Amino acid sequence: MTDTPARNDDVALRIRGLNAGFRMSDGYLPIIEDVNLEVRKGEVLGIIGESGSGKTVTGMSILHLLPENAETKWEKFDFLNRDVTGMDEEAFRALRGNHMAVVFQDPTGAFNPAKKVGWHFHQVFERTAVKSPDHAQRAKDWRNAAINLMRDVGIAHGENVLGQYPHQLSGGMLQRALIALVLAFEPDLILADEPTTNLDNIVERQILDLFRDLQKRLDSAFIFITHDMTIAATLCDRIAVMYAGRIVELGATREIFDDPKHPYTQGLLATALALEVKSGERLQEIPGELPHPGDLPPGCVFAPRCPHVFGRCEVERPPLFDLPGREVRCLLYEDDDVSGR
Amino acid sequence: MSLAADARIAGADEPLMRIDDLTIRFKLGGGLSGIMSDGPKHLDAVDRVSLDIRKGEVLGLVGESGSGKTTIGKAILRLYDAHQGSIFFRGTDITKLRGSALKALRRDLQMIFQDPASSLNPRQTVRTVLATPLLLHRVCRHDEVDRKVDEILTQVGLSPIFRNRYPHELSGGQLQRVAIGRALTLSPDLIVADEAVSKLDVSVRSQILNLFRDIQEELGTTIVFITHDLHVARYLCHRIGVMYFGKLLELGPTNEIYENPRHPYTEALLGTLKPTAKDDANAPIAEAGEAYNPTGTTVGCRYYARCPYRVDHCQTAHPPLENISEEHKVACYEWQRIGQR
Repeated sequence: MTDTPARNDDVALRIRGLNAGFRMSDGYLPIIEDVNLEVRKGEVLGIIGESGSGKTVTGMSILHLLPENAETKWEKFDFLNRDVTGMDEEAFRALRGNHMAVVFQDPTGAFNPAKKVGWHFHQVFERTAVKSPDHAQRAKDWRNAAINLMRDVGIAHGENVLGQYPHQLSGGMLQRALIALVLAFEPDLILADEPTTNLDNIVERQILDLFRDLQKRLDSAFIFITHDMTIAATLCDRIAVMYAGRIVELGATREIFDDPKHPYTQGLLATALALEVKSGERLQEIPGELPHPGDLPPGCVFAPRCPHVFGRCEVERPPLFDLPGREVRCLLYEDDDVSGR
Repeated sequence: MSLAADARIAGADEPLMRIDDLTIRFKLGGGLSGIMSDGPKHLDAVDRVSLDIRKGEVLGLVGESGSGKTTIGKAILRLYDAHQGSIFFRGTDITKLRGSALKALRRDLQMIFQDPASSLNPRQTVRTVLATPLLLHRVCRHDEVDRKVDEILTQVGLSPIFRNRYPHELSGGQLQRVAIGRALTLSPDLIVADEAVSKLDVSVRSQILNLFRDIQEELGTTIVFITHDLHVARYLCHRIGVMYFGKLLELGPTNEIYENPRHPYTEALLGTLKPTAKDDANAPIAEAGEAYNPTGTTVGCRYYARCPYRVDHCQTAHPPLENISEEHKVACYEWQRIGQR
């Protein structure tokens, strides 16, 4: 998939040169630097990284949902073949409201606690009524439409749930109801940020299966943010690995798992997978810890923990090198670059 | 798996701790809702559980949130009072201990919590954290404290320069090392570690897991390791107990539980571990049915509603834990049908 350049109209979202940070009392704190992403229609792009890697800030930048004290800079932001770089917030809000949906870790925040679940479905069906005569018809018969969608996501007694308040549902049920709402909304871009982290193993697996179905039905562009390698392997077509605010590796999921290039990805996979397959031996470690964003090393951000570090790593910030079907931010691959830089 | 073999030999002796028919009961329905509702007035978070903890073993308690695994851990340390049943530690029933006998017990039993940032006092330096128990229990003289503190720091992989740091100056992994060090100060016989690596990032988690294993092998400390992470349990534990809504459903040597699970719930939990390729169709591992309601009036097996193997008589009473081999216990009427692929 990554080998063939996508036709332009397949690309739902394209981001070039995204930088973001926060104004703090003691100055500007840069969080993410030089993020480049593309998500096609019908594709799941996973953004994986540990806490503090900048994966959530990346997601929230795309949705323009960062807090007031944030600053973002873009070279280019194309959405549905429209250049939305520098679009004013009013216009962007309309764009987001009609085309983008987000699923967070905690579904309770997505619901109005004072309104019943049914009210939320009604709102979504009303909003989408203008899309087509079918949608208008659906908005009239919204109760049945909602019950059907809830059945699709494994809520057996949707008619009861419509009359319940969000706090009356368990976390798993509420996350299901939210997914049903997303199905009703039919967005062009779905961003899910650790949507199963709060759930128990079995429920988590069921919700992940639902996401997969959702994806097949809607043909939307889907960004899935997670720290869990197993989940990324289950759900994503391509993954972007982030470390200390930078994408360090990007490529097809299967290829990255089979042949990780960046030393960080290698370490991450080794620690995660070693735990899954072996039980007797000592676990492989990545020594050290994530650097603080205000106190990054001068060269490669991974250099202090990297087993392959050499002189230049400590003084040069490596760019993303283009390898066939892969982008890697590591000087080890300088000679493999095919972009002709 | 020499570790498991060691644990089996150790098991021939009298166990370090014997939990016998333990029930931990919480009162429900304080306030207006308690007066208004005619529902049950209590919840048994741990419901008649019997369990041996052997000297020198790492016993894993796994289960989802609400399974009662943390409640058992805290009951072992007398942080909760038993409603019924006994906990024998070195031959004494500790559920009845008071005063100085209880204080002496606390020295032998220690706990490590999930979030080291909240389990360490932000206004105490690392030295104070580690020195307080030493002085309180008169383990060493004032002029020996610094040497002892440095010794503990070295043991948990921290340089003695950390002695004068405050918690906010440490990273998550370093904090957890301090918390582990604090648990070790009094050379306890038993440590309860409650989700002790869950909050840590993947790359740091393996460092701490290795530390747990080193300490366990070096000092022979008995550890009750409470976790929802089945990979972690497999890596660290000699034996594993699987809990569900206050009941122990299965107990056995780690390899046996993972290779030959005989409870449908264990089977389902382990099913969530297998990484599936993105497009693999996977059979449902558990039914999406409503989970057991611990405040309800259901009398049968607690897993009944979600169990794919259920038969009519599962509704009569929760099955007792029975030995299916010398080392392996299961609470399921239908265990012979499970895992027979």
